[in-house]
This record gives sequence, C-alpha cells and structure tokens, in this order.
Amino acid sequence: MLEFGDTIPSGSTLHADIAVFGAGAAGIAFAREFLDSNQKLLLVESGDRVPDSTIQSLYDGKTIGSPYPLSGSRSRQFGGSTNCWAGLVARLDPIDFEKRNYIPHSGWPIHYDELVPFYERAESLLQANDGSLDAFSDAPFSPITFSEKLRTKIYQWRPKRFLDFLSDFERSRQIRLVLRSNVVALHLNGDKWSIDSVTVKTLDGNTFRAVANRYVLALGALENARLLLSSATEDWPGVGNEYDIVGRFFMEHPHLDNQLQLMSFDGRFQGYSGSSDFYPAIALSEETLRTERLCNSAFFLPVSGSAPSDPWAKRVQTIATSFGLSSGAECFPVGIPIEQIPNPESRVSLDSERDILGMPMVTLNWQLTPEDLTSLQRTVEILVQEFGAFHVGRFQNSLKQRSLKNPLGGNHHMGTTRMATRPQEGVVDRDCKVFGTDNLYVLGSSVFPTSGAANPTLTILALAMRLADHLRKNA
Amino acid sequence: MKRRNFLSVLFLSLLHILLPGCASPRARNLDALNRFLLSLDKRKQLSLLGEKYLSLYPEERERNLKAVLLSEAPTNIPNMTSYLQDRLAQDFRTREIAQVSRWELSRTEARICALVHLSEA
Ligand SMILES: Cc1cc2nc3c(=O)[nH]c(=O)nc-3n(C[C@H](O)[C@H](O)[C@H](O)COP(=O)(O)OP(=O)(O)OC[C@H]3O[C@@H](n4cnc5c(N)ncnc54)[C@H](O)[C@@H]3O)c2cc1C
Repeated sequence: MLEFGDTIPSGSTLHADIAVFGAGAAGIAFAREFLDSNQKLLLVESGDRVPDSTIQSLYDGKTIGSPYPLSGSRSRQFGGSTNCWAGLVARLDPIDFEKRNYIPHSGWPIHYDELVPFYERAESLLQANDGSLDAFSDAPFSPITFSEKLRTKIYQWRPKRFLDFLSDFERSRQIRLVLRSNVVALHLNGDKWSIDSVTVKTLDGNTFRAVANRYVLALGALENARLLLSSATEDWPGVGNEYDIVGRFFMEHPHLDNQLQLMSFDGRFQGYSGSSDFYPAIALSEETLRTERLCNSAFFLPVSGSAPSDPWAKRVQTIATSFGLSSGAECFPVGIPIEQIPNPESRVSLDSERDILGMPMVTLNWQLTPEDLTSLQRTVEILVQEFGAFHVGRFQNSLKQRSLKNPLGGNHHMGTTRMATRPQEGVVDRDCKVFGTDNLYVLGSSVFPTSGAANPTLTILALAMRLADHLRKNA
Repeated sequence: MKRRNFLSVLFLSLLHILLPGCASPRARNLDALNRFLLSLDKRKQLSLLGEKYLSLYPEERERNLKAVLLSEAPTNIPNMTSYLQDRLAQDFRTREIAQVSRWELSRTEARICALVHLSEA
C-alpha cells in the first residue's frame, strides 16, 4: 500500500509490528522479506518516486577536515542512493571480518561464514553470482597465477535501481509505504530502554507518530548517526551513545586515481578493464595482508591498455625489450580504493544550525591517519616487487606524502554506528540491535566496524536480510 | 645496431675466439657484460634514463658499476641476458629498487642504463 505523508492527518498515529525508516537499498531489501509475512510493516521514506530538490536539501550539512560532498554523495528519494549508484558489487573478504591486531578497532562480532547464506540471497536479488573465479572461468580475462602474494578479485556490475521495487509495495497489504515523510525524533520510555514512538514530519508541516513493537533505522550512515545523536539531552548522551561512539569512526573508501600506472610486459591484463558484467581487480592475497600487516585494497585497470606514449614510459619499455622481457608493452592507469583504518576522530557530529524540519544539520569531519598512507605505500611496493620479480611489468608510482591529503571518496559512508560485542566498543550488537535498547535496530553500512575494500551495498543487503530473518524468528 | 657498435662487438668476439683460455673468469664475465652493453639497441633512450638515474643517485658515479653488476656472478656466466634477468628479479625481491621519473626500476636495469650513458659521455 502506497501513501504520502501529506495526506496523513496531522496528530494521527500509525501502528505496525515493525516500523522501518528509510527506503534505500537496506530498507527496501529488509521490507521485501516481509512481503509474504503476516507481520505488519510500516516503511517511512523521506523522498518521493522522483528527485525533489527541496527534499534533497535535507541532506545538506557542513564539513571540516577533508572536503566531502554531503548531498552529492547520496540521493534522498525512494530507492535511496541506488538511484545514482554505479552498481559495482562484491563480497567483503573473510579477512575483513577478522580482528587484526595491527588494525586498531578491527574485528566484526560476526564471522564471514555467518553472512554467506545472506550474501547468496543478496546476490540472487541482484542477479549476481558469488564472484568466485570459477563463476567466471569462461570470462575473457586471466586470473593472476604468477605470484602467491597476489590474487584477482572479481567485482560485478549490477546497477539495479531499487525504485523498481516500488510496485511490490504498492501491491502489498502487509506493508504500508509512506513517502514524503521524515523521521525527526525517537521517543523513549521512562527508563530509556525502549522506543515508544517516533515522530514523523512532512515538508508541508504535517506531523504524525509511528508506534511499533520494533523499529529499524535504515537512513544511511550519516543520517542514522544524526538521528541517534539528536535524541541526546543535556544530561543524557542519546540513544546507543552511552560511550560517545555514535557518529565516530566514519569511514570511506579513499580512492586514488592517476597515482599509479602499470606497464604490463605482455597481454595478460587484457580484459581487466572488464565488461558490462564484471570487473576484475588486482589485490593482495589474504595471507599477504596478514603477514605484511596491511589494510585491504583493490587495484582496478579502468581502461584498456595502450602502447607507452610518454617519453619515460617509452624508455622503460626500451629497457624491458633490451632485457628480453617484453615485446609488446601496454600501459594502464590504475584506480585504487583502499580500506580506511577505523579512526574515532573521523566523525559525524551535530551542527548548531537546523534544517527546515528543525533537525540539527550534520557536520562531517572525515579524517585519515598517516598509517592509511603507510599501508597503501607498502601495498604498492609489494605490487612493484611481485610484478618486477616475475618479469610481468613495471609501475610508475606517483604516491606522495600528500596523496591522501584531500582524498576522494567512493560515496561509501560507513562506521558511524559500528557493530561490536560490547557497548564500550560500538553502537549495535551482532544482531544490529542498538546497545541499551530492546527494540531499536540499525541497518546499512553505518554498522560496519571495518570497511574492507569492496563496495558496501552487497554487504548492506546481506545484513538487511539477516536482520529480517532474525526478527521473523523472534516475532 | 650502429656500425661502430657492430664493429666493436665483432672485434671483441674475435678476440674471444682467438685467445681462448687466456682471460680469467672475471675478465670473461666483464667481456660478456661489455658485449651485452654494446649490443643494446635504442641507446639514446637508455642513456637518457641512465643520465637521470645518475643525477638522482649521484653516489653511483663513484662506484665501479660493472664490478657491482658482476658481483656474486658465477665464474663463467653462460648467458649474460638471463644472468641479468635473474639479477633484476632478485633486485625486486630484495627491494633494490630505484625510482626514476617515478618509474620503479630494479637497480640492475638502472645501472645498465647508467653504463650506457657513461660510455657515451
Ligand atoms: C554516485 C554513487 C555511486 C555509488 N556506487 C556504488 C557502487 O558501485 N557499489 C556500491 O556498493 N555502492 C555504491 N554506492 C553506495 C550505495 O548507493 C549505498 O551503499 C547504498 O545505497 C546504501 O544503502 P542504504 O539503504 O543504507 O542508504 P540509502 O540508499 O542512502 O537510503 C537511505 C534512505 O533513507 C531515506 N532517508 C534519509 N533520511 C530520512 C529521514 N529522516 N526520514 C525518512 N527517510 C529518510 C533516504 O531518502 C533514502 O531513501 C554509490 C553511491 C553513490 C552516491
């Protein structure tokens, strides 16, 4: 059933078994799991079916630290940021879930294997496969075999617009989808253990309440933190924030383009610019990441190789030919997303300025640490060493001390309500339930304690489906 | 290959054939390295790279680069190209890497370029 907040009488109360806020990738994937259930779901979404600049402006905010496009990196519309995403998907690697003692604050409370059945379900929603080399054995590229320190990791292009799922909800009797409606406040019972109700506002000035047994926030990593932080009062730090963790540990996938160029001595990297279906990346093996104590990363070759054209590349090619190493060298620019080390000072906080609904705006202070660059530099050094030692190619390396000074992100917001085993270390538990509450859950990449190097949405979907199973079992 | 280089290679090869057993293993290796250097094509390109390398790593000018390249060599290098290939692979393994115009090169290949440059200077 589809409704609009402007048509709901001000002052009324909407009841449901589960109230979900935010209909982006996470909220939609979660809610779809209840299409055939007998539980009543309320799905409240700020946006409409088409973009609206006034609604989008609710995403405006401020940045200190590295500049960041707060509104430009998301879409406030039914379907969320999948209205503008690129659709590149991959699982996180098993190592990404591990506690790595060389990465502070690393370690998920869940293991990769626990997520596998949900990854499979998420992949089937996107009509993707498991991304294994076997699944791409016929694809026109050759996996890396020359070095045990390196591997090929396959990403898949699945630019599904979640807007397409609208009709599922229009037809549903169990799910009440309310568009153009913004959650602005969480109300707790007296002892602050449970959410009693949630206030929803429209841009036309309508205000109504949602009352449910369980509440799920799926507003994206910046807004999830914003809403929890704005529940704070003078003498109380806010929902899930007893240890001042909400909004901290903001992570992105810093992207470095044009800082590395590969000269391949033979045609073995043909096909690495991918197709409309897949996109192979060069990565370090998990064993190497462990032994070298490095963060995860991926090295993409976004365009097909071309003959060396600049004078220095030609000279390097001449050496390779002189040594009998190359007959037809090709150059590739390399794109690198990296895993950011969780950093409590990299954070979302509330500004004194408010938006047109009266919500405090967010201030983002995205901060990297020198160790992020050190890890990347060593990773590149390993690539240089392995490609060199096996006569596969050479790299032109322009990484500098300043390379991560004003980094570009990948529009991936993560970590602001991190998952942990204890409230001292995180905001939600292994079931995505907010510590200190008994009926509030959070979905989206805000719960990622570490980011890996893979784009986040497949994992967001897997976690959403896992929470749906959990809440169905514990109805 | 330029005519002058061709003649030099010919001369050295003849010497090698006419005076077997006269040279010590070290001299034979040096000889093989010289012939390798003389046989290189596109010398201008290599020389420019070598010049840049020497400007970035001036201490290399003080070294006997040929002796460095032949250090740890077997008594009789059967094939100079594959000897140097192994050496540069080893350089990468042991991080004997030099950055020239931001290209990460093995010391061995950079030194070969430096020798080409010095021979032309
Ligand atoms: C340009 C671009 C390219 C990207 N490319 C990729 C990619 O290739 N691969 C990948 O994995 N990821 C990519 N992403 C990221 C991906 O889009 C997000 O990871 C994903 O959409 C997050 O899902 P979500 O449901 O958590 O949040 P969102 O999709 O952002 O959904 C949040 C929803 O909550 C709603 N909302 C917000 N505040 C309120 C409120 N107060 N009340 C009610 N509703 C509210 C919003 O309108 C929105 O619909 C890209 C993003 C962008 C912007």
